[in-house]
Amino acid sequence: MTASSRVRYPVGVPHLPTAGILPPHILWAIVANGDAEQRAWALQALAVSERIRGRRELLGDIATAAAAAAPGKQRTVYDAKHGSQLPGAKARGEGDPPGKDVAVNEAYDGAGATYDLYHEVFGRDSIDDRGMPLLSTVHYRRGYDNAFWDGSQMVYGDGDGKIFGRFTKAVDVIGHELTHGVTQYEANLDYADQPGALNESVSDVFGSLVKPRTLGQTAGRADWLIGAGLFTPAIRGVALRSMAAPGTAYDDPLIGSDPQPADMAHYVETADDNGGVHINSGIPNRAFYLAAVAIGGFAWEKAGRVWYVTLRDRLRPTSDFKAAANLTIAVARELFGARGAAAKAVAAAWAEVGVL
Amino acid sequence: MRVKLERSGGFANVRRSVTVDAAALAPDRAVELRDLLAAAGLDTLPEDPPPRPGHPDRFVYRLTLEDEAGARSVSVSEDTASEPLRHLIDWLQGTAES
Ligand SMILES: [Zn+2]
Repeated sequence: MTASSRVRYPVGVPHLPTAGILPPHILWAIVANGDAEQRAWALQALAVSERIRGRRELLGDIATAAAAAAPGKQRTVYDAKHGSQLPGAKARGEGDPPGKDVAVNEAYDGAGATYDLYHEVFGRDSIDDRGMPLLSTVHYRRGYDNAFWDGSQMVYGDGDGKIFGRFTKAVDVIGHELTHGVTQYEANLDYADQPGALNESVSDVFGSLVKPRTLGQTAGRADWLIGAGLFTPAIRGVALRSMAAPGTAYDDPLIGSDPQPADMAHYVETADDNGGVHINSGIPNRAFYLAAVAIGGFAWEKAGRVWYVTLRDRLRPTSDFKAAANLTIAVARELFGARGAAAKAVAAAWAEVGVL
Repeated sequence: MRVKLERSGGFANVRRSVTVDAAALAPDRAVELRDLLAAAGLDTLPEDPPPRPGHPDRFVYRLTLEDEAGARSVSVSEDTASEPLRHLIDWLQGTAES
């Protein structure tokens, strides 16, 4: 099904029958940043305006955000004790105080910060939007240079100590892995070639929002790095990926240089890495960065919302970069106005990376 | 005979590559390698692994065998590697590091 066949309401600035009501993006900002009373009021106003305009796709947000009083933030962190059996031995449950194991605490806190991003900003209740428990395992295998989502939980290695330290050290890694779960329940993007690179990019995009949100950083002040601090001091590199400048995150005699392209002219055709899903993700990553910085303010408020609604309602398993570009522009128009600065910024961003 | 192990993918997608030359190994280690290769069943693996939806950020391994018969290359995703194949991969990595 194409996006255009799903969206039956007229695109553009909605004609609101209720005089004096605030536009949705202002209301959403209040939901994100207001106190309890302001939140309740903004959600009510949104519910009314959405119902009037019949925008079925936003109703899920409101219903969930309104039920926010008892959120499904249920975290459990397990310890694989260097084995490969999942999930391993329970190390910390929801509400337990911090223990001595820093990886356990980081996995717990990172899952919490990511849950909060999805819940407080986008009105989503966990990975499946139905309060799915957040399960994480640390100390997976020995010297394991990786983190992954296994289809039902997050898994983190300690690193080999030569190239990498522990993978829980950067909160955007945790946001990245948790987002693979969200993608699985929503767009369910394939994991090869352009859909696979989009799958990877979406995980980087939402992962990149977690840290600046906890720090109160605007798009212009965030570092836009993925995996900062994961390399040991022996490696010449600031992070694994740079969304602002793909291809510049590291350059080291042992591991080589960051292979990410910054635009379509440098798209990498390869059979490795499932068709370069962690390589070509640099292109949509930079499109998000460019859009967020051009829009200004907190990246999660507008650019993040556009990408979230696109992931949840529009992308399909086989969507390519061009589809993602057109869908995010359409969503930006619907959310923030056909002639709004947000839609213009999103279109300009995709053009600058050579997708449109 | 030479065995090359290349790793791509994973969250970091930092490429690693090790090559073990059977001729350069101590005799008992060379026997180990032959046994591990025999058990790993490389003949059953495709040259490129099929895409695995729902299994993001797993390592992808490419094994290349070179001998008098030429070079043969197979590829496997970390999460589908059999236990004997896992042992071979771990052994190659451990031998290269020691
Ligand atoms: Zn990933």
